[in-house]
Amino acid sequence: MKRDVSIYFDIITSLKTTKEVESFAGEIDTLMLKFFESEEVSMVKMLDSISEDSSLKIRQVFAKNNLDFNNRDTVSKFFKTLRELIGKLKVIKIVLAFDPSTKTIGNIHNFITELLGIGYILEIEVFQEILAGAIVIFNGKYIDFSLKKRIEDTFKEKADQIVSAIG
Amino acid sequence: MDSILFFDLVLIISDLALALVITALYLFWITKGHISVNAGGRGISGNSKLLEETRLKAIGIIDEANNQAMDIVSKATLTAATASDSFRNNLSHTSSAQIKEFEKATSDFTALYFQVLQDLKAKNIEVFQNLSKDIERDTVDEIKGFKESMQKLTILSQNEIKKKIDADYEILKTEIENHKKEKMQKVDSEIYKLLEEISKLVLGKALSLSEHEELIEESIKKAKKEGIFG
Repeated sequence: MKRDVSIYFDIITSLKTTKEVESFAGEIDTLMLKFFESEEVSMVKMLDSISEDSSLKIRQVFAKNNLDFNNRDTVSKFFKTLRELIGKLKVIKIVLAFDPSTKTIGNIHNFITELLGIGYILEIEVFQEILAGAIVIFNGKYIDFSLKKRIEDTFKEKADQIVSAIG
Repeated sequence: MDSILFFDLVLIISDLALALVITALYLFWITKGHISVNAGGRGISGNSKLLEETRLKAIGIIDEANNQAMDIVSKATLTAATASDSFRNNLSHTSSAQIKEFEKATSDFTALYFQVLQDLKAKNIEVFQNLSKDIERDTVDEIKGFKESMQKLTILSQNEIKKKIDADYEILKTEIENHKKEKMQKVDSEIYKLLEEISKLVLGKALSLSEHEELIEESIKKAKKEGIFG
């Protein structure tokens, strides 16, 4: 099988958060373990043992790229490459004021993909005290763009005016 | 041999008895005859002499007969003794031979008995060994059969259970997926309401979800501008 990473595009871009990646990687590891345990086991049947969403993604890639599930070499190389690519995904940690819905996560991830390109996933932490906005952490760098921080900064900058206004 | 000796002895005794009878008759006849003769014509001294001679002759005959008899008896005794010894020897020999034969027969019988006993023992051991092997084989076969039956039953049960679990799992999976969707929708709507309330409290106005997302996207843009992503 030609090592063409473009065939993994749909799967890689569908993974948006670290939780999703951990879950998906675990499913791939289980599949590979079963796959190498016995040559009798069919990969098509094994796909039934993982989540529908993950199973569907893999089936679609195989169908779209005319890959044969019965070719053990193809299957083995596919999952090996997929596992390597998943391991290379970069993690952007964002702290939000609320627990985002799947749709919101999708929107944020799409925005990041448009802005930075593919290969990024989100590690989301919820901290209501930041009120709105986000704290962004990447590669050990930390920037606080939360509403709480803005309010605090505003208070610091305009403390005199505020005190006099109150006073 | 013994019967011949006995027959000879009887003959000798018969001869001897016959000789005695003849001698007695002769003496009687002589005595009677000479007395008559002497009385008829001759003198008493002549008759006495003749009588004496005759008597001596008779005595001689009798002695000779006696001697012969004695000799015969002696011979017969010797023969009898010889025969007895021979008989004893023969008897002893025969007894010895019989004893030997008996001992040999006994020995042979004992040997044969032991041989038969050994054969029987060996045969019994073989029979027991074969029996033991048969029992072992039967037991192994039964255990094997039981094991195979159990394996088949276990596999059958496992398959049945697996099918049941798979069916239940599919049902549960669908139920969980549906429940998850419902919950997510509910959480989304609740979060939105919560955000609105927080925004009202802090900003004096409610921030919509899109406005929150805009603020987040703005934060990410600024982070990029700050060079946080390299």
